[in-house]
Amino acid sequence: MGSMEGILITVRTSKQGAAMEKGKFSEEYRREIASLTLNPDDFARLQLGEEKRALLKSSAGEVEVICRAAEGPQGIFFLPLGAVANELLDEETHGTGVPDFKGIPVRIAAIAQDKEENYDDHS
Amino acid sequence: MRHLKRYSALAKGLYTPEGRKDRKVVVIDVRPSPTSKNADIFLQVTPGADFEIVHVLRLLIAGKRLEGLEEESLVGGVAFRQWQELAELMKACRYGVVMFGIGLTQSRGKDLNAEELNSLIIELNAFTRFYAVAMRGHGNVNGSNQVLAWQTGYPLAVNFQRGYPRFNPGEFSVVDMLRRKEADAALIIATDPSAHLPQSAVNYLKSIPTIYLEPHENATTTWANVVIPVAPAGIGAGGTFYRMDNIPLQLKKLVDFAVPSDLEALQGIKEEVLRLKRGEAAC
Repeated sequence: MGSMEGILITVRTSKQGAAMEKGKFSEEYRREIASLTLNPDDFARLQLGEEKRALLKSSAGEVEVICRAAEGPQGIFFLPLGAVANELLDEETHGTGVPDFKGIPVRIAAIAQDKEENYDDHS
Repeated sequence: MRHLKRYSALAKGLYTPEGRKDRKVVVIDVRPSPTSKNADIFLQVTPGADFEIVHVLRLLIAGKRLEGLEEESLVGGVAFRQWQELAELMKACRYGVVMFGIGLTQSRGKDLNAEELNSLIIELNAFTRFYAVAMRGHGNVNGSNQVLAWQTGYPLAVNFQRGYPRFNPGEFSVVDMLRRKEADAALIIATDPSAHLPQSAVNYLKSIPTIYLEPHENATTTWANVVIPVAPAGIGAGGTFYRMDNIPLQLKKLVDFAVPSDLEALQGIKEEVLRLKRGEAAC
């Protein structure tokens, strides 16, 4: 099981927008906002378990995410903006009114043992 | 894709009868996307280099010589030569539009990135017609900016505490107000703080009295002290909707809902507050 440091960028996804119409408590929405997209080489290096779960940590907090590989730069991770990503955000805005939603230093580590699904921790 | 099809790339116009064939689409992003795959030119940049990139474009547009930069030198992860080509393309077009979103305004530099982009657009207008359009995420985000701007002169982060509007993002914006624990009660309308704010800001909101006007069940409805269900705007209530290009559109009510609109709920609250202030018994 591997781990690595990188930069987190929060995004919006079209799947998130579509799932929102089914409700923010729908399984589809909750799964999408906990889905982290990363480069295929990074994905392989993490040696993720069957459920592709990983722990993502920032200076503000930590969350469990489900990883998926997609074309993109190495060391940059993408997570939809939502209740899961919010745990990783610092409320400091540096006088701009906007917290750092993008460019957040994070550490990701594969979760050794596959767990039961439990999104309630992040709702 | 609807934006590309209906407005930005494929739409046919008076001077663009061939639609997409008459346009040049350039996408600047940190990773490939469905939009970049439909572009003529895709420039994959390194995150956080927005200000540097726009500043270099400004200097190129102004015809400045950039000492120390060779054709293959990297600026924001892309060869300087490609920025030179883009600057020439922007100057030569008949009518250019930069569509930008939170990738620019929420990355390092934030409002300064937007200011630098505005400067670039102003300077490009010495050569050709150029616009910048802010892309909003949700429906009618522009509407609140428009109404606040014509009522107070400021588009957001407006404080009425002294009886007149004061504007200062970073001081009167929601996350900063919550971080300083200044608000001791909150009226939340048409947004879901649980989905949009840092968790520590949400935790503070949970600790103060909250009144929430919202048509749908979401993470905020689970903890708000008072939830007033309202009719969804544009479906159960009519009104003015501002499109992203600042065009106001009148929306009619489509169906009746058994709950009030945002306007009716707010009017009801206001009338009750005024009645209590006059010392009359509550209804």
